[in-house]
Amino acid sequence: MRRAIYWTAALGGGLPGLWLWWQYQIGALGVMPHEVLLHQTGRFGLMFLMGTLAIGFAHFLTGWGMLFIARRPLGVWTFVYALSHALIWGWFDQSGIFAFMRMEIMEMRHVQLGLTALVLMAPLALTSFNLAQRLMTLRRWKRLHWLTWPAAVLALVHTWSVARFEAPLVTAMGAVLVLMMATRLFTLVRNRPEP
Amino acid sequence: MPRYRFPEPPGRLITPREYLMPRRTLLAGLGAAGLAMGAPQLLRAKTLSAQPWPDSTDETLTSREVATGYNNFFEFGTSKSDPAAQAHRLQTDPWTIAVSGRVHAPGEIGMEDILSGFDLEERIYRLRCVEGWSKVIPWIGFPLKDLLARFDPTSDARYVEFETLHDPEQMPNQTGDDIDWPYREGLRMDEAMHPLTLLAVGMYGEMLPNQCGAPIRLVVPWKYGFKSIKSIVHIRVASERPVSSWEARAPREYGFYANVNPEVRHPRWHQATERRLHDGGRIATAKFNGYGEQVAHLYDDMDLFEHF
Repeated sequence: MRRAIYWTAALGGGLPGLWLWWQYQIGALGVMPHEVLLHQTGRFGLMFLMGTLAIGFAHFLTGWGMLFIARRPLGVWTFVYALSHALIWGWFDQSGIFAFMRMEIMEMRHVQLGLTALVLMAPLALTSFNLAQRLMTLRRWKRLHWLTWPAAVLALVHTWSVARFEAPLVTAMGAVLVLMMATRLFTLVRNRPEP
Repeated sequence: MPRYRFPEPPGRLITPREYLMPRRTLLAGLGAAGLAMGAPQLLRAKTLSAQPWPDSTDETLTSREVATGYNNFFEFGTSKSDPAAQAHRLQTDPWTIAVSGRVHAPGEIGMEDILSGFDLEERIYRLRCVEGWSKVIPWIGFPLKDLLARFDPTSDARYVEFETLHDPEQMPNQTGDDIDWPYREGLRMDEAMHPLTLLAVGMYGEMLPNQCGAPIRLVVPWKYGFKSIKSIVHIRVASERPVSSWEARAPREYGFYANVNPEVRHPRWHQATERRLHDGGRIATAKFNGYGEQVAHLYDDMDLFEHF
């Protein structure tokens, strides 16, 4: 069972990307394929980020401990999609021209927010193997992974600031995020060892 | 990483010429038969003939596919693919433009009279969208000033206001409130009379496709694309400055002048670069979209940061 859950998350997480890549290869992404790649990888990243956070929330509701097995692979896929999103931005949207990228980073709030979220997630992705967890002790590893929450807030504001008309959906996701954060804080306070 | 493209053989390799020619003769024969049967509207040629304009840009044309498949035309929906998917609902025949306001000879002009009454030119212009993308399009049209001259503006004519068709039956997104419909745009008289300001009736050698503003639209190449109003039904010559639709919706974001200017940023993004669709990559944006030599003098005494 543990293995089934783990491998479903670890392999299944790649399916959206694989599907997108296939659509790109057969030319099914319309007249502006690079823009679709950019938007879709961003959406996937956000979905996986919300999904990763939802594991803790689902555990809060169900108390089923096995759920946590899926969390790390989902988190790693979040980073993979977010990184692809950033690379597609640099390579296709900015034509790989560093002067243009630097200007976007200096001028555009949503680029600043998105890149900050990516930077916050980088150490989490880099410490995603068992050895890292053991080397830095589980307690510190867990504490480090609280960075997911500010990253999620930044990613949502980033999405909200580029959404032109889909803003209600993003706002709803924000509400869900706040709800999940509240339950996590509640668990944290409840589980705090007595001084 | 570039996408792998399966080689696509050109049409001439698929259908040999000796099969093609008899078929065309047959079609022409059918066409003649149709004319004889009194159904000319079915056969109205989609192609337009026009004189080439000497000052056209020699930049690579945007593909017709992208020019007609990636559009902003909010009357049909807010996504870039909505216009191509929805614009078939638009009825462009018959079509008349009413000209009113500060003119000595107010009245209406039908599309037939427009198509037969003005010398059409093919002009290749750059088109820069305020959202940061651009295209290079071979328009077919004639200067707006030629049309205005027919209606003889009065001495206090200082502005020209344009209005798009308002009919939610044909333009489904007009039931929503993204814009206070109908869509309106305006120009100062000197801008309207400028020889670059075009009324376009076609592109890529054919009549305008509906999603690109059929049957007649404005093209002001040194201003952001939203100034180039589509599917015009009303032109009002005015003495007071009109308020354009985007200006009314978000005055801090979209000005009345909306001249392409890399130095003046939009509140939510900069305008220094643009993506040339598709795929000319990202390039630096030129002031007045590269038409400064012809139009910069119109704004000599204006602060372009204030009048953006």
